[in-house]
Amino acid sequence: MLLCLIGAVGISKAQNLSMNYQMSIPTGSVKNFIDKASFRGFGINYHYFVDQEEHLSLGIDVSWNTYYNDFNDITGKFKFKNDNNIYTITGNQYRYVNFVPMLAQARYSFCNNMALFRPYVGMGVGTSWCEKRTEVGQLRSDISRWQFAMSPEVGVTINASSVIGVNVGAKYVYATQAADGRIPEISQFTFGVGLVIFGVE
Amino acid sequence: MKNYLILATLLLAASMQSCYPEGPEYVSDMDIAMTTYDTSADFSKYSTYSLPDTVIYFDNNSKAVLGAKFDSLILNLVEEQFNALGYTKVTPSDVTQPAAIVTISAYSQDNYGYYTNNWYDYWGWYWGSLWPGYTFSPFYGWDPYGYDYYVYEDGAIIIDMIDNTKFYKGEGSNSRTLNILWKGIVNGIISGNSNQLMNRISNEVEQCFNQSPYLDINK
Repeated sequence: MLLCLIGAVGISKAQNLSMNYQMSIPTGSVKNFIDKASFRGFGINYHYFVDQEEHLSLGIDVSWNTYYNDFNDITGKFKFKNDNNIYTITGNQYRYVNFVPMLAQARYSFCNNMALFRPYVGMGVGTSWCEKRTEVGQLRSDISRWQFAMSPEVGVTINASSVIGVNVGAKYVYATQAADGRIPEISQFTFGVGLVIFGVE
Repeated sequence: MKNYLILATLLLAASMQSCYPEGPEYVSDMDIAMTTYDTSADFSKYSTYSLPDTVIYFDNNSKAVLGAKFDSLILNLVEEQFNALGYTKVTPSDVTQPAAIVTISAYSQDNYGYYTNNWYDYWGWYWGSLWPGYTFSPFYGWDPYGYDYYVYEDGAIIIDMIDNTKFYKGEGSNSRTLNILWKGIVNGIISGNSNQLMNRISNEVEQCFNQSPYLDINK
């Protein structure tokens, strides 16, 4: 473990709270709706270390990204409630997806709590809330649903001092489709950077 | 300037619900052309049509912008489009009855909205407690700042192509429903001078026909 350089800090960090800016790139079927990366995102997670050397931690992770794309003069087919006719509508379309995964996470850090750089791998399982919206003219179609979500991750925590550090991480999030596909299957790559605050139990 | 203010207000009202800077920029960005049709209809059976010489207006505002000055523009445009698609305009009489009746109606209504009149303070206060995806009403619990009203006039032009064959054969005399073969709707926010409006209306009326290739009965 060449990476496990001993840092200046060696204090026990029984728990940590991390706040990250994040950007996400959509992959999979959500791209049919919006094929544009989201630079508007934020994530927060809390982890509690299980063992003495602080390799294994359990926590929760909540994050959010808004996807947006607009299309000028695009023609689409729409249905209205209580009306079986199919309407062809041409106009500017403004599309939004809000995606909020909420995950229970387990993480394994490769170096002990004395290290300066602590790379980790993790896995999260939980749910995600997805809101999908299309606006055309003064019409709006809006649907939101809960999905099943899972997310493997890799990252590194850099211990800047005994109380604060920097987190750099990447994760892949997969969420199942809902409402017969009206909420699409979502998969995204998320890259985050942020602060970690360490706390002793 | 007034146009931009109206749109800006609409946008601000919309963006208050979530932190989205994007969306429509100009009033015309909200123009739409919308069509639907009877999928079982064989349009080649309706090669003749009649068109009245006026547009019927429905509005809730005596100062409505849409009005008779747009009649000739709209009527000529619709006639041109139907003729180009292979239909023949006829004047109904005792001997000749058109297979289809085309009617044009226009609707306008004033819409009212509210906004708080102290945006910057509002944002400043709100920013810190922003929670993603959480939508809220701008009026909820926010009394310290005053409210202003905004009004925008929403307009629609509706072109209906109605089946007349049953009526002139006497079959439909007891029927209470009309069989609408095709419907074209132009909808937008009414704003700007007459020339701008006429341009926007003609673009969208043409679009209604362009997006309905099944109407073409030229063989």
